[in-house]
Amino acid sequence: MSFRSLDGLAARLVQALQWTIFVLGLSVVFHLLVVLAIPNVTVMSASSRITEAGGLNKALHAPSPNAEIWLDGRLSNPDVLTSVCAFNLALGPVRVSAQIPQALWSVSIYGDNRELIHTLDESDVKNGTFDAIIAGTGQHFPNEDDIREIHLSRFTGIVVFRSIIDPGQDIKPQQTLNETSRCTALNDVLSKRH
Amino acid sequence: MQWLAPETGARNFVGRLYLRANRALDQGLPEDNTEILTFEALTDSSGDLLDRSCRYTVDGPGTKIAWWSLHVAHSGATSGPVINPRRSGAFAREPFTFKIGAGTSGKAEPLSLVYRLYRPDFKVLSDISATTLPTITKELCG
Repeated sequence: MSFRSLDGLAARLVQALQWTIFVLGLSVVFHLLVVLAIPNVTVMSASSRITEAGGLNKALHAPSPNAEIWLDGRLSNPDVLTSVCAFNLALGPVRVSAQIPQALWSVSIYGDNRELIHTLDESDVKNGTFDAIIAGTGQHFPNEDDIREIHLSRFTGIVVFRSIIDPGQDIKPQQTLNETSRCTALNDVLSKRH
Repeated sequence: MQWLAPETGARNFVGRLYLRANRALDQGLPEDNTEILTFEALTDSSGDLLDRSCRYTVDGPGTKIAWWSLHVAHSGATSGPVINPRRSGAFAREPFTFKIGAGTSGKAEPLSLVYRLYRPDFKVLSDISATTLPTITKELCG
């Protein structure tokens, strides 16, 4: 074998090695991008299902504990009755309210990246009802009733109302939070009032 | 590790990244740890994957937390639990023992156990990894 053909073979091997490293590097980058994107994709997918089923800024109520049909998840919680609403604050602030049940409850606001942005708690409750206005950072609006304001840097996301229930008991009296949970565009509230 | 901790339980950035992606697929939106603290077991005390065709004894710790629950879920399925301990009266603060799994011959099928603590107190939240969790001991396989 001549030196020329050996040189050619070495050059091809180097080229193949370079391609292999390039493809492996690309695979690693792609893999990391997919892992990073999964949480956002799950929220986007849930948001679009909620919006299709009920529209933006409207609460949807699960009829039973195992019916978290809008929130994908193998580990759905059978002790929790859920209501959800998808919001888009670019259209204006959204008023969120519900009557509080006797059992444990929580109302959580998630950004479109699946991060839990805010959880409402007992301090948000007055006369057995919690009431809050969620708005985008920098959004100004009339707040005649002096309702708690929550300003978010993310303009799209999901509000989840959860009440803990006892599956062994009659479900009807345990549906207070879910039956009364509301998400309403603040513009609609104001236009009805004036 | 027998029990998978909540997402904040991962020790490093890469671990958190993968756990977050995994939980996004499994759990949908994460529950607020101060409201609901969720642990999941995919293996028994000896480290073997939980199998629906096996029978296990679950020994739970006593807890000061008033509300807790333990459910069995089929891995890979979107259906709900197959056991709710509250229905069998196991919902209490005292230590408990109960059995899960068929223990009969049949196709091996993954199983997982989900333990939830509701409104855990500050002591639990300050060190989630120190939480006393149920032990799962394999009795027999079909």
